[in-house]
Amino acid sequence: MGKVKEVKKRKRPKPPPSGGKPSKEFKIGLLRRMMEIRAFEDKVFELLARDILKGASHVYAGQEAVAVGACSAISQKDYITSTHRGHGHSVAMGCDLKLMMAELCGKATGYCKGRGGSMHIADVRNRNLGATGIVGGNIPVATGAGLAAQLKGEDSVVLCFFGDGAANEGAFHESLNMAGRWKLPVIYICENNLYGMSVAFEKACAVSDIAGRARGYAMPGVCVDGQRVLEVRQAVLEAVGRARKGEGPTLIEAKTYRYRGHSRSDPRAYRTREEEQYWHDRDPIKLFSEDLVKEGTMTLEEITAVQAEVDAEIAEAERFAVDESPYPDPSEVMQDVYVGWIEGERGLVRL
Amino acid sequence: MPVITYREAIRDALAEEMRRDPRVFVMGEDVAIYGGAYQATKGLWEEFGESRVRDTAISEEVIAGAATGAAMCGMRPVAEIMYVDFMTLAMDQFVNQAAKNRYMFGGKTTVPMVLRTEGGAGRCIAAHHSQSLEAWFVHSPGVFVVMPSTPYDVKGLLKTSIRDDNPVLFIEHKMLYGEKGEVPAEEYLIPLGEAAVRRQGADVTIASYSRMAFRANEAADLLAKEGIEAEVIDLRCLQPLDIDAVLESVKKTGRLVLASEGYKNVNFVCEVAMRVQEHAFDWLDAPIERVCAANCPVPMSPVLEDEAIPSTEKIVQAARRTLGKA
Amino acid sequence: MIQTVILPKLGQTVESAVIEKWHKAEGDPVAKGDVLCEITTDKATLEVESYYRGTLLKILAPEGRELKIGALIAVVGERGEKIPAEILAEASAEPSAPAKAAPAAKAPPPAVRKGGRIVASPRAHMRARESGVDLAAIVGTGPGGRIVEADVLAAAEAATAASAVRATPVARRLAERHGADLGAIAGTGPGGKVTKEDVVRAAPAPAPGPAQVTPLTPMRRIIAERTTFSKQTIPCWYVEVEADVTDLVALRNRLKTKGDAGNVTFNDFILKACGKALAAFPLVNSRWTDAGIERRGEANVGFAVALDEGLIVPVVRGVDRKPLGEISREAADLTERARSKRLLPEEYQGGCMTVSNLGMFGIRRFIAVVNPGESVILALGAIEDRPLVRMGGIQVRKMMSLVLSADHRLVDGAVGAQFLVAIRDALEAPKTLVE
Repeated sequence: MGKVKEVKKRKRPKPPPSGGKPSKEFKIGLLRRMMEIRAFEDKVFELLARDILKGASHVYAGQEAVAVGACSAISQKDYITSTHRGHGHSVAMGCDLKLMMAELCGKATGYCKGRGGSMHIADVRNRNLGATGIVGGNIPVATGAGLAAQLKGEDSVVLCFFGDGAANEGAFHESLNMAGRWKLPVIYICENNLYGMSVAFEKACAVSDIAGRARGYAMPGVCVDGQRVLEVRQAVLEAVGRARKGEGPTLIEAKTYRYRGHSRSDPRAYRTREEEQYWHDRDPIKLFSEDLVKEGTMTLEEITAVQAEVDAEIAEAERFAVDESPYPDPSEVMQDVYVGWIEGERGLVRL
Repeated sequence: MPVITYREAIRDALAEEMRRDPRVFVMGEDVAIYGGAYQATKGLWEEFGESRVRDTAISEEVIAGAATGAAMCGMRPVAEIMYVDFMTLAMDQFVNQAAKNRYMFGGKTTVPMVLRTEGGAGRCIAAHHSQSLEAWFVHSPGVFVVMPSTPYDVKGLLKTSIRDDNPVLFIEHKMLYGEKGEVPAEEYLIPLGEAAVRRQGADVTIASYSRMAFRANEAADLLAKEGIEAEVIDLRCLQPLDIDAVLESVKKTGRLVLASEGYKNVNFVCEVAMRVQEHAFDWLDAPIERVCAANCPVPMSPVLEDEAIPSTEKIVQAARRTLGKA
Repeated sequence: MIQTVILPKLGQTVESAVIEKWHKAEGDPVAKGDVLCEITTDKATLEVESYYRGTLLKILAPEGRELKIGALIAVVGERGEKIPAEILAEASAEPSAPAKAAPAAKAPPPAVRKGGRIVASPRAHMRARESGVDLAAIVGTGPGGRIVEADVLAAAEAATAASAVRATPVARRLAERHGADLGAIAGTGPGGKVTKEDVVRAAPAPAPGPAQVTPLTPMRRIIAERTTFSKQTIPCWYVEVEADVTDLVALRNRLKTKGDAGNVTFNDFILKACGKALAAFPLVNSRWTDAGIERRGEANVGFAVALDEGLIVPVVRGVDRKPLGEISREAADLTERARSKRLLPEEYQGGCMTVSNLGMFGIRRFIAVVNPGESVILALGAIEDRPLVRMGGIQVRKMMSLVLSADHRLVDGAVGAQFLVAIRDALEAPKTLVE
């Protein structure tokens, strides 16, 4: 396997001093991150179509404001857990696009050495506790991370991302009950994109707002417009503030939309084109760009320039992942199942 | 040497590890003030407080899941699932998240958690409180499964499990909590993946674990009266498994009886038998025998329960069959 | 430098071989290429040569031992060099040398079939291999009559005890043949040795025709298995023609006078004729598999050669494209090496049809058994003068019966008939074979 080129570590956009207004650089950073997510996801969709990307990939396009807004409200000492539709979370956490793309391609240079793929990107050292293929599977894990922070006496918080479908899983209810009871520093962020796989949220859920369930678990429930990045950021900031002070968890429901189908093979027969158009008109990148131009923070040319830089980044990620990165060595398939042991001829043997 | 009970040995192990390492904490249903359904955590809440010894709601999924998340963030949780029968509710978190996160994330995380639970029949509490489900978990890559039978073993193995960086399912037996045995006061650890030869013999090997290890010993005593010398092995740890101990014994005796309280169908001992067949085929002088629980939900009535689970007599008969003396 | 000698790979299907005879003894010098020993498989006898120069330090497998391919059989090195313990350990982990009181016959492979399976535990098989005891001679005491380890150990002990008894070699062989216990016979020979007369005297009154059971040789076992398999699984049908080989006989006689170039046998003509027919009927040159009918690339025809203990079928490859002279030379060489059991595995495998001839015994016609893996077999009878209606009158012609046994899965009636007729036509127009 070839050596991985030295990869520049990307930092999360530096949050402004608490209570202060976001600076111009900060806002450009938010826009850039959203564009990166969109461009990455579009590229993923294209590579799936060309059968260069194998397996499943669930694309985050349309929901960028939620990940970027939320992750901009936390710091290096905080954690997130992600979902099968979680590329956006990883990008928002500052994960390297090249290593992410390599992971989706199953290459040895990927974040998980090609073992996890699209649905399991993780960067635990940087407090991205990973994505899971089980809907709702990380809600208890995030709760545990919050428990660890409480036990250690740290004022770290945990952002737990999940969808409207997961809000009906038992894991959601058990976790929110535990977090509410023990006042764990977990911010539960439900990205309600109105559909599970093909079944509409309104057909699956007994209530029309998930945020209302917070009342059942002794925590505040907040509804936000998931297409507006600053609104999401503000809601998360308040929740983070509460959690750091030991006031416990918050449930935030971000109303948003996924532009693509559940996965590549989904023809979206369960949605109307009118509905999709409505949400395209509320594209979070478009809305934020318009706001930035209107308030004079950026010009159209500057925005276009950022887009061009982003496109170049994505092209570089594609090159790195598809052309330059090797596949893992098949003889290593049994590594890292356990710590300190490996499969031998007659069973497990110590390493 | 002090003689203490199995439950006291568990409690001592937990207390010692919690004193030694501030990252170790306990959580589960009724573990704190009540001291555990079988009193295995009695006294810990008093010593370590309610932050480190936490009563949870009846929420097996988040008990296992929170342990997973806390472990990934540097803690060493010892969570309890009161009955192994309830592991079904915790399955996804344990088998899909805890077991697989290390591998799926390219080896870049560890999940150093212990899930303590207990199983087994003998109390007439029927099908949902009497099972032995270890086979399901040995079948899941990424998980260790430990099933000690004596107070000495349970203490040494629990301490090792807590210090191990892998997710460990530690399955005690409800009928063994009162079992007394010698346990040194000084600190000791028992490595994972090591079986214990309880008795030496040349005629037939009897391998088992948990409560069945006692019945195997009893069977060996009865067989000795008939002039049959059995070699008795207590496996203690199902994953990693000390198959070499079994192979060495089978090469000596040529005959093997496997006893387990799991249901007969796809019992864990089928895996043992397969490995023996793979690596010691030529040394077998008779077909391998297995003595397992009947393929029915564990019944409540004592007469039926005794019939359904393996008895000492059934182990004796199996041993006789390997010698052609049925 | 210590070099180990192993039983070499001998073709795709051979899994074991018997050490027949060592040509070198421990302590003998060895040059590269020297023959160390002879081994027999179920088909042939082969030589094992040394790849090393030095001294034969140790023989690890005695004569009569059957071993798996790849097993350690000897160690070559410098005189006086010490053999590492691991090598000796590995060799003794393999089935070890038979007890010194080895029965006169070679240790037979444990899976010997004698009209039914031998039921013995794996451990018993292992002990039998180690001690050279014949499982077929043991009565099992395990459940269902299974032979268990204890039975084998008891038999091995008895054999040792038997050999510890002092007896003349003749007496020993006689006792073994009659299953008499040497230890129970009073010896009247010098020093109390048991003599032949002692054994005869001690023998119970002869029952009418005591059954004598000879262990199977590998070749006999294979013939039994293959012919049984053929009869059980191949749906065979049979078709006959009579060939007028008068002209063929005349041509052959003319060729014989031409000296060396003319040493073409009757068999060679048959092979050539079969080759032409196979080229014309690719359906016959096929193999039946579960996945479908496999057309073969070339026409390989075997011809049966009788041996003392059975028969073997060397194969001439590509008869459809070889000239008669080349076929003749090859067949002659194969026949000679078949008789001395020096055929290589490739030389008796891969045939698509076999030719069998009992004419030399005066047989007029017979029906042969199709070899599993082949599509047809041709049985030739003796060439006899017979009256034939020809050109309006009766003439005496030299006639030969050809009976074709065919696998109906591959060869239907019309095809088989035309195929056989093609062979006949070729034989009746012998000039076409001589090109």
